[in-house]
Amino acid sequence: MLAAAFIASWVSSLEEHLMKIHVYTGSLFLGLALFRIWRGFLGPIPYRFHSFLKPFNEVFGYVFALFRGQAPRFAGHNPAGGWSVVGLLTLGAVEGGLGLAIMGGEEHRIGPLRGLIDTQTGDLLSEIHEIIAILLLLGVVAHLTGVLVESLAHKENLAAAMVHGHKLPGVGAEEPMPSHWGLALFLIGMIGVGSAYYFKIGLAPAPETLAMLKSNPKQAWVKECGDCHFAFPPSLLPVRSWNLLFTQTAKHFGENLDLDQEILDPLQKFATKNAAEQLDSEAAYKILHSLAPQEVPLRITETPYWIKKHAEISKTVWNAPQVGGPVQCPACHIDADTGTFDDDAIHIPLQLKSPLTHKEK
Amino acid sequence: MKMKTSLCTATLTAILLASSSLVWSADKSAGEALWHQSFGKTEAGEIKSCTTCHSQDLKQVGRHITTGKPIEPMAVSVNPQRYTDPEKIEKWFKRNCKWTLDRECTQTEKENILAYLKSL
Repeated sequence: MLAAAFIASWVSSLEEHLMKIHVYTGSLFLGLALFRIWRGFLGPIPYRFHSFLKPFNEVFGYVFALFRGQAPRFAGHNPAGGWSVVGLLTLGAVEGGLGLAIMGGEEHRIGPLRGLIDTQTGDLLSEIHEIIAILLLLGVVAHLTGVLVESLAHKENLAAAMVHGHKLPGVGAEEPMPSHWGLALFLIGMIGVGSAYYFKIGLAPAPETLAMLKSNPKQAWVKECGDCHFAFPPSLLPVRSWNLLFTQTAKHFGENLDLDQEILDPLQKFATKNAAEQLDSEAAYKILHSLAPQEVPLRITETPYWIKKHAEISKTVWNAPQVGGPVQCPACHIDADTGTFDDDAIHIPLQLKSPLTHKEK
Repeated sequence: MKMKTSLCTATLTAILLASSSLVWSADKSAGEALWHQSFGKTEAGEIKSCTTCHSQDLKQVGRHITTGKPIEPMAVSVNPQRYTDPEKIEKWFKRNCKWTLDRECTQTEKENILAYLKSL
């Protein structure tokens, strides 16, 4: 199960909109890794770390013996495999912990660590998260190679032994493997209940984040801007961009807005108070930091971060009637009006895969 | 005699007033003509006309030429909410006449267009 959760986490990390699944499989992975670590200290003897962790000279002795084709059998993990297990579990637990920290700080501001970490730290942690994921993958490949080598050397199916718990006798076989059907069923039940809760109800974002995003007195913003285009959340551009935009309202992308100063002033105040510098969201932070200090973009779509994130969107998607170009954030970002732009709120209309039908005029 | 003259003047004035009010009353067909008239092109090469964004069929949803935002139908018969807010009418006449005609519309032009739109 740990292995399945690991594979699923890796696969779901490759696509941004699979974030919800990644959070799920990653949490499962962390839970199972912690469970295994707990069993390593307090579980039945063959599970315990001290039962299969041998001094390094024994490890080397085992490896050399293996090369000579004389490796002894071990009832539990062999000395090399034992350290590999500990290494993988440690890395795995760190990886899962980092995942929680990133969730709390950058991605959704959800989970047990929400609100404790800011976007900047979350961003740094996610770099480490990626490096450890690669290390883990290499570790897993090494571990599997070891399993294959020992299986061949001893002509025994070690993968099957892992599942049913029986292994041909060898060194240290004095402890019989206890049966643990009850525990296994309990674990599966817990995972079932947890999954149902997660996919039905989900995780609540940090209340302070929600408050920050929703308390904005933005009716005027939505009314005046939203009449002609999606009322972009001000957090997608820095203060300097908004200030420049508000000096050119008579030539707003080729149109004279003709708004009185008493309408414009509160709008400008709202924009600068909620600009990218002010809002601690992933989109705001990354857009802001993708800009050189002297750059004053007038369009969100001119910012390097926006360009990078949308590089793979094809013309077919942009031009589809359900989308209608890069200005239509909510066509794909279902949380666009809150300004959160969560990865798992990305929803590129599925109909785009089928031939388009055009309305008759 | 004097009485007759004044009666004549009154009648004449009445006729004049009536005819002038006929001339001044909103002219639906003038509104329609103005609505479909083209006023040159934008820098991007799009023809500037009311129909550029509101589409040829006023019972259909229009589309903002630069942003692509859908614009609710203009015809009252499919969109009864139209022309219920005088402030909104003025705001959009001002902004859209400037874009389309490069000037504000006159009171007559606005009345004509409104008469046309309300008749749909």
